[in-house]
Amino acid sequence: MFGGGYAMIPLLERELIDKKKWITNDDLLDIISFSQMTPGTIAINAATHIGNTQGKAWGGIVASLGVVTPSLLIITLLYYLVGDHFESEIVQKAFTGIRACLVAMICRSVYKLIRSGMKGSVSIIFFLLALLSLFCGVHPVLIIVAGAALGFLIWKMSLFKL
Amino acid sequence: MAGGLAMVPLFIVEFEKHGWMTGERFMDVLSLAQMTPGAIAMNSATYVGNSVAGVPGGILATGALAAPSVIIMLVLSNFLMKARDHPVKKAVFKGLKPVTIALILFAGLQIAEKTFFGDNFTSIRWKVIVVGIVAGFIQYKVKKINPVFLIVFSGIAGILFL
Repeated sequence: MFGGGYAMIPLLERELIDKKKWITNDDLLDIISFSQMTPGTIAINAATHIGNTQGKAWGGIVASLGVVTPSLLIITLLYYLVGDHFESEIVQKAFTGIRACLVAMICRSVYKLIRSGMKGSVSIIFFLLALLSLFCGVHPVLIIVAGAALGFLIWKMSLFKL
Repeated sequence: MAGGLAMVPLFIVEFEKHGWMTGERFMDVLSLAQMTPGAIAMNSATYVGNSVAGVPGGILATGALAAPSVIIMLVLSNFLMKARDHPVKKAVFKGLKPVTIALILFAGLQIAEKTFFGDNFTSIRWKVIVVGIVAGFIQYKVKKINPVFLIVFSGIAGILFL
């Protein structure tokens, strides 16, 4: 599925929150939520947005170049190094190891995000319902729209007294 | 790119029309893009661009993919900054946050399923699980560890032990 971009989250956390302190955990979650709804990848969207907040439009452009360039270099290099042989055993083994590590890193990010972004029992119910719908094969975009709409109804319109 | 893979059939039609790449080959590219950290869409654009027209092709394809999202995100970013403390934005994002965390966790679970188990859970790949646990343990013990280092370490561990 569309997993690729989420691999960037641990890196974003470390550089933007822990080291540079440009944004908070909460801001990152805002950006990821936002990125879900817009075309484009999380990394580019996050870079453009944070660059824009730090240095206007040029900041946004420079920041997104900063994200695209390493990716571009790595894949270009990989294309000429590995070429048609990325089915080869050694490459597969390395990638399998990396994916195992990614799972560990994503778990840690999720733990951190739960601690900073989920307050109150309604949030937990939202989280569990979303997870259940994903397992049942509901389209992610539909779940995102539902989350936004229910959030608006519950916390802005006070539709339900909670 | 939420639901980015939904675009795949469209890509294949275009690629075959222009004679750039067969659908089967593109599936290989996708699996490579999925295995490497970074956004799937960007990685595959770089790869296809390179294979069609060399390094300039790779750069052009990547730029063409990134440019629209940068432009869209610059506009949305200004809007997001202005609306930062608006009650409607707050309510909507309060609903979005738990959903987003669920999406990230689900992506992690999908990677875990493909990495740790054989097709349809027919087998358990214990060695890969061990690599994941070790990576998780290292990042738990060494809180400030650079994720890039952890990724490289896992790749090497994969080559050596899997």
